[in-house]
Amino acid sequence: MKTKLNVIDGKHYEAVLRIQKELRIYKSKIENTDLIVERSRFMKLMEELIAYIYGLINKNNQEVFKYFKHSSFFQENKVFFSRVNCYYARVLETIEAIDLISQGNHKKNKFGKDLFINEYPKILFEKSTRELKELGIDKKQFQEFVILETGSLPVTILAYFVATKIPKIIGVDSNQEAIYMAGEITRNMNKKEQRISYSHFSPLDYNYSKADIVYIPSYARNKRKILDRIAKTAKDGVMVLCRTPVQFGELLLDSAEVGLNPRFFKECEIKMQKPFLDKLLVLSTLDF
Amino acid sequence: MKISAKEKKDLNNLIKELTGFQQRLSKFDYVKDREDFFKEMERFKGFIRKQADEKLYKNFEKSKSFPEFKRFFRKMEEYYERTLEAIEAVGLMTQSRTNSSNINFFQHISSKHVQVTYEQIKNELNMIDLKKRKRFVMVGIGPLAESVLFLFENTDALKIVGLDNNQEAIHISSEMIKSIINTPRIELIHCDGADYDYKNEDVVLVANFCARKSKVLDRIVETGKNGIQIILREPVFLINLIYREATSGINPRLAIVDEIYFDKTKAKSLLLEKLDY
Repeated sequence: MKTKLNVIDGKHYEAVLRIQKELRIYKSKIENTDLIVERSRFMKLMEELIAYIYGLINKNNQEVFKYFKHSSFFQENKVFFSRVNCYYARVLETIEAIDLISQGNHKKNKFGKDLFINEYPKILFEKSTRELKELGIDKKQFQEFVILETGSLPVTILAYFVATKIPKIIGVDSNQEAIYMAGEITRNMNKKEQRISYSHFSPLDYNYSKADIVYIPSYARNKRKILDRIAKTAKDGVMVLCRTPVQFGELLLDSAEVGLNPRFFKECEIKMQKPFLDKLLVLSTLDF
Repeated sequence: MKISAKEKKDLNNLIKELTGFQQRLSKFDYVKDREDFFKEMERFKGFIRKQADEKLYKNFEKSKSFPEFKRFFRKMEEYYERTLEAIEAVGLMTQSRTNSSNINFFQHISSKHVQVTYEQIKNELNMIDLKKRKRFVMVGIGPLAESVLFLFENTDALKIVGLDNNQEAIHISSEMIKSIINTPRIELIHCDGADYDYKNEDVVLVANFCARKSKVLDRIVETGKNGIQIILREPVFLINLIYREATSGINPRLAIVDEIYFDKTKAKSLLLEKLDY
């Protein structure tokens, strides 16, 4: 049965109001926190916010989310929450990257998840590896894999480097500091095989003509515009792995599903068992 | 508009040289060939700094190839400069983590680039009455924030605010500063200079590679108090290939009150002031 959005019953109305109230408190706390001086407090607040959103997703609040998504609160605050989440995710990666470089961990011949110091990248690495197996990409003959918004910590690049034999893995980021750190981390392990390279570009300007697979991470913004650019410049049949939010995850992450470029087919989607804010969409363009 | 045969020849030679730099720089992988890329960028910057022929520059500026060269070299320069700073900043942090004794920022920075900025800012501050100006903002601090540190060490400024809209840069610079000093005088903010509220500030310094210089100036006019001063770094001749200029369409509420020319870097710094009437 379809939800009639213009009619909301008392139970759902109460639920939406409760969620909005909680989120307002988070917003106010985040706004009153200096991102630099009070970095630990900010990171902790973001962890709590994400845990709260996991909780909402876990409770299977699909029906409540439908109403919430159409509320003025969601529309007015989505930009704020996705902006701070993007900042949080990239800083989290930068913290790990600086730790790795300053401790010289990247030079100790450590591969895979053992390379990382903190728990967060280890979990991400495992997640990417599991997804890879599920997709069977390790068994396919791809030549060029483009990973967008690589960030300072190239977790996805490393997962694909370790688990596949793809000869060319290109990390694309518009941020030069991120490329420097990601490059420094993979430089040592890339010495012999030279499979990893980086490109300093915005995903909206990059030319995807040689790519066989393109990966769009969860915190990438303007996903639909990126997909339009891929549809415009990539070869027919290109495969796109795009992370897109699940339910309340839409408050923190940009969705790729609404208004998807008509050139793309949705081949499948992969959801992980553990509570994650997003799922992996597997898209491809028509080979024609 | 027709130009003479000699002018055409000079222009062709210049374009040939720049095409050579463009081809060589395009071949480098940012990570694997970083050292070679840096050396070629140094050669390129040395080349453009030597060119001081005004007529040649004017012709080149109007040529078809100018916009494409500008797009290409600006991207290269931004990458080069910010990566250089990130390397220095991460290196300094590594030193401070392994060395418990106090670290003097300028003693430990090996880059020539920092020495140049150091000289430049020292001269720029001579244009300002430092007794009257106590709050500074630097727009576009980059990962090394060397201008902020210079202001901290060489002025009695009560507050020095550093802005950058790049989260990695702001994180690296804040961590780097934290690793060498602990002071409430410095405040770093993750913010675009075109969005910041300048109402409490006395002096604003706008970085060379700031992407939206004109918008930053408009925002200073919109939110800053009358009399607020701005140090604006502007490119001269071929330096226009790597940095944006903002003075051609300058906001009418701003007046140029002073300027310094740096012969070594072929750059000039202007002191602008928001009119007091």
